[in-house]
Amino acid sequence: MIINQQDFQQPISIQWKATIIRSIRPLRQNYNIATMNTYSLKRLSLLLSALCIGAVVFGFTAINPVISWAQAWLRFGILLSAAVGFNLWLFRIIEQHEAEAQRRSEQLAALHKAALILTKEVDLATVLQRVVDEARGLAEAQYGAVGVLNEDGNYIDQFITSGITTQQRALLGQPPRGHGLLGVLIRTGEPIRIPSISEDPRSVGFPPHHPPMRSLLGVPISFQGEILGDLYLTDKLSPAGKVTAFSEQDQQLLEMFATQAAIAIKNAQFHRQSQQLTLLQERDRFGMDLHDGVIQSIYGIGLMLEEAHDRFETDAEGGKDLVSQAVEGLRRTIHDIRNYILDLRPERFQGRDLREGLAELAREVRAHSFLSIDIQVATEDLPRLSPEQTVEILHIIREALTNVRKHARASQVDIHIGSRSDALLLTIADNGIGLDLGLIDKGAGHGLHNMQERAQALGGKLSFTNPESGGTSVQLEIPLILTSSLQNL
Amino acid sequence: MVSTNELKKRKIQLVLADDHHVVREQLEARLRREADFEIVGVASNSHETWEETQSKRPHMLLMDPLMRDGLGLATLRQVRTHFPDLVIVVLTAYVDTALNMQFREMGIQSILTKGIPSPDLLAQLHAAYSAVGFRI
Repeated sequence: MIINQQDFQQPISIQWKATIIRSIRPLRQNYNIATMNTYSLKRLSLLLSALCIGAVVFGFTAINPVISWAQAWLRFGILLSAAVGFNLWLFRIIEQHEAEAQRRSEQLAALHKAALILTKEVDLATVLQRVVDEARGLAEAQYGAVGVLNEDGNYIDQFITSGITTQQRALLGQPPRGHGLLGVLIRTGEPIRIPSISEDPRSVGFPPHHPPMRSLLGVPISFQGEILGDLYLTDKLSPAGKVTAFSEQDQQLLEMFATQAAIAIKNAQFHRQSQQLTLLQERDRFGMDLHDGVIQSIYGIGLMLEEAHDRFETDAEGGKDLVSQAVEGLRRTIHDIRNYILDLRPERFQGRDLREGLAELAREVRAHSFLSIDIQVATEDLPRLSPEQTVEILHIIREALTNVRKHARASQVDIHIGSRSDALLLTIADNGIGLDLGLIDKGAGHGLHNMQERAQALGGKLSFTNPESGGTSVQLEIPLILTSSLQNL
Repeated sequence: MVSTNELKKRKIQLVLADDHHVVREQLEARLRREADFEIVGVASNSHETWEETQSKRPHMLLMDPLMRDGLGLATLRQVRTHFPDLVIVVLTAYVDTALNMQFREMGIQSILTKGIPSPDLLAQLHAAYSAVGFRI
């Protein structure tokens, strides 16, 4: 038996040696079957099948001399081809699944990329256009549109398209209001997926000049339960460029994308609101600045012209005289406006030392509010500040006072100035309702941000506290190292 | 007690206070042409406003309290406290919400902005006056 075995082992080992080495190589390179690629797995599986079948068939023949070697080879051949067939069938299924997984992961990567693109935009119109463009790319649709609903959420207010040309769009006239299939999505709030639009009973048909569209996929864009709009895609294109129906996967993908789109749209809306708020704050500021000069002058000139108009009948000379005065007044006003635009009244603080500037600020506060203001300078000699430092510090104080005037509901504000050898210390304290310190962390408020920036520019430190006695206290600490070293020069 | 008829016949005695000279002169000229109004005093700063109001005891004070001397608002408050029956009309270039609320807390109902057409201004002055008149 042993001799026999040695006899047939020789040809088998010669035959399979090369194959075994070839098959083992990937195994040796990559010990973990879980991370092996499908091709290596396939070869390993074929090799193992052949080895097992060979061992069983030839082993059985060796111990059972009744069966001839020819028969053994025949059995081996039949079993092996069955095993190979089974293996190939199995691996085809695995490969199909793998391709599908690959496609899904590519789609997810595309989804991630599309969502990233959205986060870069804050302008609402741009965000909406990006949303529809990216959605079209994700689901391989020929056309796309995003409909933004009106405030009550019952009809389409804005309709942003992708995939049709401007000329085509112009020919279509009014955007859809949501009477047909688009409206179904608005009313139900549920995704809609239709292989053929024209065959659906809910369709109301296309207007003239509308490009023909077959398949439809629509999902709502909702944020915290509120539907912001709807995303529509039509005519899914197959790799061959043919129009097909949208799949379940397309729908899932689009729904995921709609979640991202909702956040981007809401973000853009918030951004717009905050800009409007900043604008309002700016308007208050400018309004106060304009009060003293321009509006007064123009109003005065208007009154002058009214007077001139009334006077012409009885006193033509007097009327003419008034008109000339009015013209001269307008010329002066133009000059004032130009100055105002060019430098935003920098002369307000220019060339003043801190003490004079504070007096000017106190005057300004008294002129524009019922606040009572008290200034205390604790040091005999104020440290010498550069004109730039002085102007910046005065601007910070002014901003703080504006906040007190507008938000603190205070009746009294105290400004205290002290100094250490290396720093100027400034405190602005009011007796109002106290600043919500959380606002500072949230970066809210144009004024606060402005103050922080100015303080940073001076290398200083600005802090806000709510003392136990009530109100808000703003502390500013400006290091004087630079100025004192300059003085020593 | 003053009857409505008497109110209508009586001239409205008015002190005008504005520290912008063109506005002040032109408003004065305009109001002097109106038969219903009698300008009893003109003030160009906070101090004068107080002096004129105290000495002339007008029915109405037409004032821009945002004065460059910085004391206009304080003066307005003082006037309000001392003469609660005086009709006060604020005419100014710009009023923000915070200030507007404070005016209203002081009981000043007529807050007009500069730019208002003169016929409207006169109508508002009449309205402010008769609103108080009915309360007497």
